[in-house]
Amino acid sequence: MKLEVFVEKIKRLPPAPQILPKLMKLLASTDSSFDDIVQLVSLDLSLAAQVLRLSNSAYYGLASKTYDLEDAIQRIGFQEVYKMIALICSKQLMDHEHEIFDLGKGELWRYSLGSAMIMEKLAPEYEMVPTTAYTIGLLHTIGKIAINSAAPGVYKDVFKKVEKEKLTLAKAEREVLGFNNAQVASFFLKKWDFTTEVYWPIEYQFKPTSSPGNQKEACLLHLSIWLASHLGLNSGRGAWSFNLSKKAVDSLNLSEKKIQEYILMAKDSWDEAQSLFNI
Amino acid sequence: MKTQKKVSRFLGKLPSPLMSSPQSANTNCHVVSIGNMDIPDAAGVDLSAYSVGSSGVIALFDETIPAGGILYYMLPDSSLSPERALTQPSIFADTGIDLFVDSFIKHYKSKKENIRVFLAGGATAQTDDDAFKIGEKNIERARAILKEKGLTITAEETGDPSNRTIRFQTATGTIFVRMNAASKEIHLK
Repeated sequence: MKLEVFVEKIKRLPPAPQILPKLMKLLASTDSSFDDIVQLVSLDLSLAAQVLRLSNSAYYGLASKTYDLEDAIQRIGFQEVYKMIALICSKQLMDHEHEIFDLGKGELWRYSLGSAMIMEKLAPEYEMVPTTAYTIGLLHTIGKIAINSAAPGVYKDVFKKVEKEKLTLAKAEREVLGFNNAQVASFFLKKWDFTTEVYWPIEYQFKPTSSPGNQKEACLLHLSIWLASHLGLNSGRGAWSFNLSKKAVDSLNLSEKKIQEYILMAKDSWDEAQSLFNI
Repeated sequence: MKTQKKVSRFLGKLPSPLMSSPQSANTNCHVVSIGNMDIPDAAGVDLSAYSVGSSGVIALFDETIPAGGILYYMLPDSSLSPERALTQPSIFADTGIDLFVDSFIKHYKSKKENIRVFLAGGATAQTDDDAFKIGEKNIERARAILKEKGLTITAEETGDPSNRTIRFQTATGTIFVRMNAASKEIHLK
């Protein structure tokens, strides 16, 4: 089956987190002003209200409550507000059951958030922009949402291949569906106007050194998926039908000691996320 | 009741991660999170460990009481970070198992010959390409330490490229393991 044909079959498309690529562009541009950001967030009243509510949460520890979006963004900082908005959008996208992957309500979102926190923490070590790394981690699973909605019948054959023929999930998906969930994710991200720095690492998450660009980001996503699995965040069926690419390991210069230190660090990131978002 | 009071007093002296298991919606079930252990001081408590991947879970059960506990460790060896092992011994197989077994025996005045041991986890990647094999190392280390402690493993659910969710009924010694959308029941009695 061709990916384009499959996508047309999807009855309920995931809602587009349209604000994220726009915010990322504002974040990257030296020409954008603070007013541009406030104006963009203000366009979505429900989102603006959620930003205000979260700004007043104990985590940000503001000395006094704020009831003004501009004031909230100024006091918390644009990077934190961006992360907050990415979190709200991803929760809307993912906070459901994904039956064909045996994922209960919220489990896909927990795993995506865990990967995002790990990506963000590791980003400075590999000279990456932390907010981009966070976005890649958060959105790398959206292909599974589309597959869950469009291919429940066919997908049991994917797990047959995974569990009986010992194929990786990505390979089994390609054999049964003709494409894998990373390609589906990339299709939507392109459609939603994300840039290559987001959708290439996601499209090549299983074969990061084959990415036409942003290979470092793709390798880091690949590693973060593996680290999240070690913490048990990647719950669901097929979570371990994934191979850590030796080329990616070499490209990130990882030793056994380093990788175990990263597992410890990933646990700390996840503990932080749990206390931050009361998970 | 007398035993429970003693257990509570002893737990109060242990490092805080031992006490960190939150209760699930079912108040008779404690969820043990990664890098923690739980030796409940109330009778009939169920213990759960969700989505155990390459990490390891050890459940101890003493039928004569009856009582049980769970350790959910993450990495094989504390030499990686001796400082971390001091504050969170349950993260590592060596420091975690040592403390867990000693605490269990002390809490319940158990005799080693009455203790049944269940070992789970150690998920591995789908093929043999995983250079780090953390899951395998976690399980090998646990087997060696349990042997050193004079304990025999009664049942194991280890390896495979799959996460497992474990629920342990400490009143009966029954363990439910969920893996790949299927469930299995193991009896430690």
